[in-house]
Amino acid sequence: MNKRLALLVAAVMVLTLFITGCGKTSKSSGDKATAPIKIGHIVHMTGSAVEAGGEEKNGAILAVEEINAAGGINGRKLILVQEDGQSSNVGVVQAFHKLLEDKDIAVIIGPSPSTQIAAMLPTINDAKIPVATGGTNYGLTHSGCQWLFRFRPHDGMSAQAMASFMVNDLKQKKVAIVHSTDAFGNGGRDLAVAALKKLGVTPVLDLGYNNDEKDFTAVINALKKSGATGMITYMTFSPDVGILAKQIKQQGLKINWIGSASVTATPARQLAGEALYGTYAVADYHPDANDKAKKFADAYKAKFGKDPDFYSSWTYDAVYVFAEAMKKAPDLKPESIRQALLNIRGFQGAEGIYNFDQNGDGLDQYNVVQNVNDVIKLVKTIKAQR
Amino acid sequence: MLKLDNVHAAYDSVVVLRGVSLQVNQGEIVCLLGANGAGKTTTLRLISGLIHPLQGKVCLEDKPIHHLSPEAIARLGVAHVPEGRRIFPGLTVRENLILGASNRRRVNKVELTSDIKKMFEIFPDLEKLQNALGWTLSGGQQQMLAIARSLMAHPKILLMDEPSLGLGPIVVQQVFSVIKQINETMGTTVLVVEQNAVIALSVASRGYVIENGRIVLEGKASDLLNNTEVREAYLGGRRTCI
Amino acid sequence: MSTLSLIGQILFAGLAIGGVYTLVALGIVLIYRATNVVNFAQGDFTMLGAYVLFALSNGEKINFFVAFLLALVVMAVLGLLFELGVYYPLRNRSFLPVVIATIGASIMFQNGALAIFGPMPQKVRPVIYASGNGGITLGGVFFDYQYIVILVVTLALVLLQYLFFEYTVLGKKMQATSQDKDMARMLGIPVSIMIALTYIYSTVIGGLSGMLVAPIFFVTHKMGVMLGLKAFAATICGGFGDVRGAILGGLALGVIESFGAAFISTVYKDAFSLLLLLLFLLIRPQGIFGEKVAEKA
Repeated sequence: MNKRLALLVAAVMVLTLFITGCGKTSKSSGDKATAPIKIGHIVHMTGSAVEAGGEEKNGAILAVEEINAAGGINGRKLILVQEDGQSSNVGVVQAFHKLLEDKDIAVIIGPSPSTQIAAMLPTINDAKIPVATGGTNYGLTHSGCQWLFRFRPHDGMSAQAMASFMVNDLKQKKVAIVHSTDAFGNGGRDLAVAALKKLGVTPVLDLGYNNDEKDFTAVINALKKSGATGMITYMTFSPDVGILAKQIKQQGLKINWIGSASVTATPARQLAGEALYGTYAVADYHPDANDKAKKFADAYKAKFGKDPDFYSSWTYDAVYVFAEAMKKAPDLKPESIRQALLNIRGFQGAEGIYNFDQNGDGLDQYNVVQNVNDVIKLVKTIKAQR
Repeated sequence: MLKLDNVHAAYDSVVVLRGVSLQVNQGEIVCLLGANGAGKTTTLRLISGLIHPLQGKVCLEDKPIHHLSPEAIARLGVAHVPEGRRIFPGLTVRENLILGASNRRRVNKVELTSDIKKMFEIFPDLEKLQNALGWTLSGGQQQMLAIARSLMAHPKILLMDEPSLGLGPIVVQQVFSVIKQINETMGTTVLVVEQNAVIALSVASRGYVIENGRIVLEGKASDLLNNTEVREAYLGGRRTCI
Repeated sequence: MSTLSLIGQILFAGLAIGGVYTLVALGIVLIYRATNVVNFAQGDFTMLGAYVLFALSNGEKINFFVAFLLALVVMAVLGLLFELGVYYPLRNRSFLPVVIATIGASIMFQNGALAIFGPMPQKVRPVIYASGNGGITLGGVFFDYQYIVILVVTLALVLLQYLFFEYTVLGKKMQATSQDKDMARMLGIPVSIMIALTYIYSTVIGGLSGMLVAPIFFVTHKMGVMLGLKAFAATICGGFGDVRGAILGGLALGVIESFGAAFISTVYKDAFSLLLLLLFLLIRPQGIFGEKVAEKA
């Protein structure tokens, strides 16, 4: 009797699963011509990366609205499906799986932190769906994954741009490298050392520090002792930049400083104030870099009441480039979209001109900017080797 | 003065008191005798409000107090010298004494100082030790301090839990003669719980015997001393103390 | 730069950071002594204090020092609410439920702050408002005014606390409560009030430390996490539950970190505190002062 009952329950459960499963497939196969196209977006809504997450969300929303207002993709509207990445490796993989369950999603915009993309890579390989990223770690697109597309120049390019600007433009040969000791900072350090070496310069100091450092006295003393006249930084968190800048000024160190994007990030500038005046940074996004960048900045300011940054610009570009590929592709099969993405040539985005190579790297130039009395001025754009 | 009426009590689900009734009159020394685990300590903790009865009543001067908190009961004039003395180990002798008066409303400095001086008269050892930390005291000194601290409360009734425990015979004699002295000179009513029946009955006027959470015997101290059951249980071959 | 001024700079920075660890550690120790609760939310009191000060002083609608005092009052109220909400309902339970409740409170505080104030780090003005560098250079050593304020306040608080616990009856009653709650109750000491006062005081000094470091650290919802961890390390090295241990442990940890970073490695700066913690747990688990049965506060 009990056995029979169990069998019955099992049968009912299997049946329900089957029915609901069928319902799903039949729904997605219906009215294909006019149904909206879904873009999955892993956004950090909780945890430590909500700051960047919010910007990324805004950029994508703006692009989707603009594209839909202009008629969508061959008459079909775009919809963003957001999942919380929870600012963690586990979180983004979970969110990715959730998005994959929705078979209507054609492409997915992933998160920026490189470690999180690295955690997702095996799943991306299995899922075979185009994924956009803002992670700048060199290795991400050089690991053989065919489905990852990068919408920012990678760290190798920023290292080239910083080294070239430090040595050729600022004419400094005694260069120190200061970096956070995470994947981003250590990776950046290696690339900067390599880039400097190509220019015939060996760094006089290579110094790591832990994220969330509150007292840089030791770092500043080491800089003073090394006699460095130039400093290249790869610092993950912008508040750390703010504290370093303040303490450098307080402890009377004069040094030419060019750093990764965190040096010009809004939190760093708000916190450090005049301590950051005169510093340089590389920036993949600058509103004066091109017309599209300017247009994006105006539209963003009008909609969200603040200036965009590189977090919002790359997701903005990602939606546009994906839309372009989906327009050109014969159908919305992942492989068709992937081929269309690889065929994109000279597409002008807010970040620069996109030409995807086989690795999935779209950009190959970096802007050097300077903090001039709290205004970020474009100094020059440096084209880098891929 | 103090009356327990058919009191039942338990720790969690373990029933410890099964209908205890006893009475302590003004100016008396009453002792509660019993073996380990008979419910003696529980009875005192119950009077002090550390635990509350499942049923029955505890009355102090005809007012029920069993629903009150220990703080409130202390303020009504019940002082408790618990098992193990419970001196504050990190405070000095003097500080322990000062805190003894915590239950009294608005005690001024002069009064406090004179009370402490009185204690030093009763317990001359403590005066020399007044700046020593509680944990440095010997067992006998701690017992004296615990009694002195409870007297600082100006108690109507003093509850004493096994004052002889862990002390040498001479010290035990001293402790009980102090109890007698307090009772006679200050008129303090005392309820003392003991396993050492001989010494307890020697100062008490009346006594109760508790077994398995019930009062099994009661009577005048002299009667109990001569009672065969008591003699067998607490004074005979099965002496547990001394 | 001379070696002496270099060492001076490192020592000063270490002492100032150590002073902050001390303030946070004091809160942990006082609550632990009074209620046997290891309060994992103590680090977040710094964050709350910093945010409350930010909220009150932002826009300079009220005088900064008035805002500062008001923030302390707000922290006192928060401390009472914390005691009533987290400790009191679980006071008769074992060690673990309360500790877990404090961890829960910590998560709630952080995400609450995130929800109210957003992820953007906020700036609070230093206590001594000076143009330029916000400090003075003496003998090659730069003295940040705020660091000086932190050190002075730490020392003053430690002294005040010592006087309070040594020379007032209320202080003695609070000590008695922390040493033996049941006995304190039987003497008529209002134990719940003593415990509430302990929580209020711990919250206030936690908040105060946050208000003092806010201009240096900047205010974020996570700012208390690392501080809390370091303060725990300091209390364990000093002897858990010992006030002198918290003071010495906090200052020593700050100085060791500072020198370790300067002379050994900046990368392993955070590791030094953990290494020290491990060493103590292995060699002297009772901490520097943890030898006696009980201690004076």
